[in-house]
Amino acid sequence: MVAKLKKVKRFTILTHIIAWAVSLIWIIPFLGVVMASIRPLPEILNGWWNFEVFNPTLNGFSRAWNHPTAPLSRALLNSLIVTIPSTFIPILVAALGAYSFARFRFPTRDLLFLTIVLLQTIPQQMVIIPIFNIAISIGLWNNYIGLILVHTAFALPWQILFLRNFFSVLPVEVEEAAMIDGASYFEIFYKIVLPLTLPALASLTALQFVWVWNDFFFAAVLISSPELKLATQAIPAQMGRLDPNWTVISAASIIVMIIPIAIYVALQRYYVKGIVAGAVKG
Amino acid sequence: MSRRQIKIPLLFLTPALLLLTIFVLFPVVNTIYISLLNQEGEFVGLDNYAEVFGRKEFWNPQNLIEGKPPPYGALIHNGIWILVHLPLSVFFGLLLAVLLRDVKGGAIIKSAVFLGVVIPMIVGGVLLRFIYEADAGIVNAFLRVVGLGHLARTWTAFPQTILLSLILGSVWIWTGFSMIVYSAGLEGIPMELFEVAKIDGASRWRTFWRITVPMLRPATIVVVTMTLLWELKIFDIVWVIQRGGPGGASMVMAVMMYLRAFLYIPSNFGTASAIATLLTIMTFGFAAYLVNRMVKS
Amino acid sequence: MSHLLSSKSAITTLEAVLSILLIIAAIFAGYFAYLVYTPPEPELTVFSLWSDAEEENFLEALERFTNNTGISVRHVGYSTEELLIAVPTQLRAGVAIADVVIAPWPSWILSLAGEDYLTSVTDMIDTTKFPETYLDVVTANNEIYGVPFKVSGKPGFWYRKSFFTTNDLTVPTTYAEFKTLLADISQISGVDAAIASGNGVGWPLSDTTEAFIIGLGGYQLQLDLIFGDKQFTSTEVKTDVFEELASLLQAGYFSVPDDFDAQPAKVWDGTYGIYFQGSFITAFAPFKDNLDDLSFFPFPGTDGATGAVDYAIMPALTDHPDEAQQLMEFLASAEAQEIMVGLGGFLAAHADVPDSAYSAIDLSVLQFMRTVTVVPDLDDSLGPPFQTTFWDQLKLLWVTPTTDLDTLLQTLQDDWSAPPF
Repeated sequence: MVAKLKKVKRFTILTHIIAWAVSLIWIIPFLGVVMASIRPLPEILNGWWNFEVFNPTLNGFSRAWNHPTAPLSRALLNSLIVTIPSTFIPILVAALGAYSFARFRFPTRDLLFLTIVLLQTIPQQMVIIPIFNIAISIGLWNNYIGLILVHTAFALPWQILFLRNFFSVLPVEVEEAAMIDGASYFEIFYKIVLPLTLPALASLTALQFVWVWNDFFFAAVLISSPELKLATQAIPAQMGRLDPNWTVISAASIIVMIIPIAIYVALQRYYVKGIVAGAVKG
Repeated sequence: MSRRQIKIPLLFLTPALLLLTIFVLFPVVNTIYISLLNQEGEFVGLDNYAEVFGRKEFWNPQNLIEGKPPPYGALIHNGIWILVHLPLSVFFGLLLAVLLRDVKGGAIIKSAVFLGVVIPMIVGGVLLRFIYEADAGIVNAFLRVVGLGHLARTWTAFPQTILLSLILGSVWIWTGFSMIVYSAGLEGIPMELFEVAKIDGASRWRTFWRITVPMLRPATIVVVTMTLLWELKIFDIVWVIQRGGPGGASMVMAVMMYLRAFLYIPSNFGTASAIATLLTIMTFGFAAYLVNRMVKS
Repeated sequence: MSHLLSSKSAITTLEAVLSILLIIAAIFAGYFAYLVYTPPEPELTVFSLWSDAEEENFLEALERFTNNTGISVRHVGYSTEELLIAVPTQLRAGVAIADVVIAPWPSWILSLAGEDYLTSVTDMIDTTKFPETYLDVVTANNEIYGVPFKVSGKPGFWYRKSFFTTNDLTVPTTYAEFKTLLADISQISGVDAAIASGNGVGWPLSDTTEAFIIGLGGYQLQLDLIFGDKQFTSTEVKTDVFEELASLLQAGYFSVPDDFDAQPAKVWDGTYGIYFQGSFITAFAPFKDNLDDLSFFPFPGTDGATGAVDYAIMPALTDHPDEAQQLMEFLASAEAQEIMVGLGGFLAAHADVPDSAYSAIDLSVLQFMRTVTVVPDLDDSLGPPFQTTFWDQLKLLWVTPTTDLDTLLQTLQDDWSAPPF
């Protein structure tokens, strides 16, 4: 019995060691970027893990923030202007749509739903050329409204699937009772169903915000004016045609990635639930 | 409350259907249509597809067959990406999920590993470029420490090594995803199964293979599907590092499509659409097949 | 159950409406903040490839323009690929964000003109003041589409005079002497490689390669390759030029490619011996602060040199056609070009800029260019896809000098297409 306990203990210690070793490996690149962002270029070229010479500086951040070609001061604001509506509008539209799939029967319902679900697999490259042409013809090229509409539409397939699954396990008795009491469908939707859906909406918010903020491809095709460029576009613009100044580009990277990381940390529970919902529910 | 109605659901669905039709459904059909036209707008059938396969940039198995280093063409590059990246990130994801289940502070470690999935892929590319730099990169420092310093170089500057460097780097980025899905899957396995196994005297190893893995089947299918799609659609990482170079050694389908559409004057929308369509057939095909298997089980 | 409709726990319709309005208000507030935050836009926007030193100099010329005309101008520097993609995309979308673009690729300019994206500049310039060859390559249907602004000669290999004297090196006059020089430089302690290789996108390598084509094959070979009268796969090109180049690469005479503007410092401190570059490099530190110690020698025995011209073009859809035209005329004038010459690293295309405006070293480049046949740049003339393939293949050759030349040359030949002029 004692021998077995010792064996278990050794196994646990081993597992702990391996786990922490692996996590160290995973963290190191991030550690590197943080180090590089506060150290002058010569120190980085010598190896950021060397600390004999250590003169931290915030020059990288100020240069990235005020860069002549693509200042992050503007780019971050631009990304917010695009990301916030692109996060909230699809949720509303998807919720309405998902609700009708979950609560009603109508002709072509299942076929329509299946089509929408299948649309999830469509890559951005498949739609970008016609979207480019459409945006030009309705005057929404190089315009945030066009980009927001595109992000909204692109979010709908997976959000509708997600919410419909959520609605279908929501007990209907509450809604039915309200209907008996004479409430309209809209009232039921807004006053009863939506409040109960808040956890799911939190998941959608977290996932969609991060997705839109991180997007590069749609922005690259639809936004061209230098002052309109988004945060993700600012990074290659700051790298320019020369080898990167690692201090500046590391600082820029940190500024751009800190936002989605913050959202993830704040809404972690919901973010993870959102990702996992596909797996567990099957 | 399944009411048979038309007006209300239609009303609720209208905004979604409108947006989906204009910005998703119609573009998909339109892209397929454009892929069948030449630059003057005349119908040429599958000419664009034939032209695409005729370009070494897209399809160059000769080098591969002769055992030479890349470039092998964008299609083959995506294929190699799948062959290397998929098993590695699935394996490491599962390993980490199992390892970190009972470890103190496991939640924090999992969050840290998952960061790779949360950051913009443009930044991911910058990080990869940084770790592979000759003097400033951690990979070369490691090589020097283990006595392989003579191999040190900027791995992303050379056609022989850039593809594999990017693929391995992308494993580091993406493993967090499979880890999180497997973690949830593990939590979903009822404890009773493990207790029964213990009572029956099954070893840890046996329990793992006979109970854990089969019960993780739905999770595995999700991980494989999403990872496959991610590998086929790689763009940002390749773009920010070498835009498909040097010499096309890191070209992938998404980047090639973008260049054909927006670099060429006049733009080659036809060939770009052909590449996009091929890409979609692959993503759709894989997804459909895997989802089918999941539904069956 | 009806209490749920009016209970405090459920969200009332009023609250729902208010929160939606709040979100919309937040969006608008943000948008207005953005508008206020945006400084008033200058009247004109110019795109170019210039950054750092080159950009600073150009801004001075633009300042003179603003002083003359009161029109403010904003300059945005782009990387090569970004510019190659951004401009056609904008024009294709029917929106000219740039009112003037400065680019060195005649074939690219003509393809834009072919799509009717550009305004003809025939009436904006005095065609007698510019060499015919510069105007011909941007002319289509008897309309000129580019204003020749900046000329870069690619005169030869730059070196630090004191480095040569200290190490007892002599300027080579024959190719054999050149190879001896390379061997000698490699022996010097502290030297990593005899010849510095530029990087950027790949154009510095293509400039160097073209020097070999012209130097070993003659200027006519360059012209023949451009116009398709000779093939890349011909024995002449392979044996006389590329095998020679590959052998020098294999001997380790070339450095690892690096930033084209980081190499001058390395030439200065003795890490590298010589550097093949264009005349504009004299505007970059440390060259620009030490012009007395700087010199160049042409490729030994060469009878030609590439001249690249940066042209100013004007999109047809610009929102400010009158102001843009004024800027174009300014850039075409001797006044603007003389300012740029005075700042160094700039050869004027305009004939009226006096020799006296040049620094000694820039003048020597100009005088050298007058003694040889100036030919167009190979990849700038052919444009993409050849250009990108050429740059890529050379990058390949530089890092892998043993690469199979037949495959490489065939790849180049495959992507050759007749130049538009």
